[in-house]
Amino acid sequence: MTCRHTQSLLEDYVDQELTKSQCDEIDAHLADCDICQKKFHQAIKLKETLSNIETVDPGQNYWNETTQLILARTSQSDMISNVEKNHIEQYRSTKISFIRSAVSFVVAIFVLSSAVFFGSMQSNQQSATEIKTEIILSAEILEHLNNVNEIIFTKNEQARLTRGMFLLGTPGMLGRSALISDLLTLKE
Amino acid sequence: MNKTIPELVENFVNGDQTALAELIKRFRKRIYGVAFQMLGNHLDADEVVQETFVRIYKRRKELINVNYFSTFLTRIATNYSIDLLRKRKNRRKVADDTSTLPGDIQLDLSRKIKTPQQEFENKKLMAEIYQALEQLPNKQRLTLLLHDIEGYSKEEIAKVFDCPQATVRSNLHIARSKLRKLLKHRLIT
Repeated sequence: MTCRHTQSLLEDYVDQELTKSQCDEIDAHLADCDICQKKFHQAIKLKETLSNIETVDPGQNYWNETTQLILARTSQSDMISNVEKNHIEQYRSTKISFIRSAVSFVVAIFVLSSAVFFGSMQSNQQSATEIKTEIILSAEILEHLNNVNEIIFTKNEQARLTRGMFLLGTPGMLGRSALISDLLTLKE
Repeated sequence: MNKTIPELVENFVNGDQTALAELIKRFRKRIYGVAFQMLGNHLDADEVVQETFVRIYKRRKELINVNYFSTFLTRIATNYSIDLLRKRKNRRKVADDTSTLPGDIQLDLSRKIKTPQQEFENKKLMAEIYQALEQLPNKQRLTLLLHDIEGYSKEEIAKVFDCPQATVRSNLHIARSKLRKLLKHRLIT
């Protein structure tokens, strides 16, 4: 065994982590080599010196106080984490209810606007049909008036005629208000 | 009946304060030893002990394997010690500085010391050792402290540092070799 090989195994030899045959080889080399023997003794002495270092024991009173202190700190941290957990839960529930109300609001706005949109479309269609009817009716009446020079309108027809005139012409404010009562009677 | 460590750890993970108290009782000296050797004074070692147990309590849900409690605990303690060392680089005191210990403990210590000559020699040697240790990088120093002073096995140290055993062996050999050079005059046979 060479010096280099012996010195590379010296730490493991000191830690007693070598096989029996390796130990025997090193023992044989150490018996003959002063340099390696010196290094071996230094390694042993260092190990002994370090293993003899004792940590000061701070005493039972210190340990009792410290243990109590640690237990108090851990239970305090538990309380803090519980409070934090409650806060998080509260925040979550607030967040969920806010999202819910926002979604409901959007849906309500959508429903309302679509109702208004479809309503107005329907009413436009209805009024266009009504105007068309009134125009046709007015034309028929005019034609009839031209042919037969007498009053032949029923009350309902008169109302319709008025309505047609109201829609076709451009009556003033007074005229409009005067016709309101007639317009109301249309329902009948 | 005394419970085993895995049983205690299992209860501790479920938040049992009694189990925690028992675990503190069983591991406090070990943690204090590592911190004291690393930081060199009682106040810092005390801080490491408290902080380590509080931290492991907060992170107890991460303990999937109950057998890793000791490794996990030592890892927290060593990491915290390294953090403290970085923060307090210039505040380090030699390990035999017992002036920060309470009065009754100092009295106990004075009884253990045999003669003033021995006390002086011991202080001198410790100061030299710690001065030499200070010159080692943190990982090498911790490996040496854990293995040669605190008696941890290479396997345990590898688990603490989460590295292969070969790395531990290499760090230990380098640290010892450096220390031998620095303490040459002390190791003359």
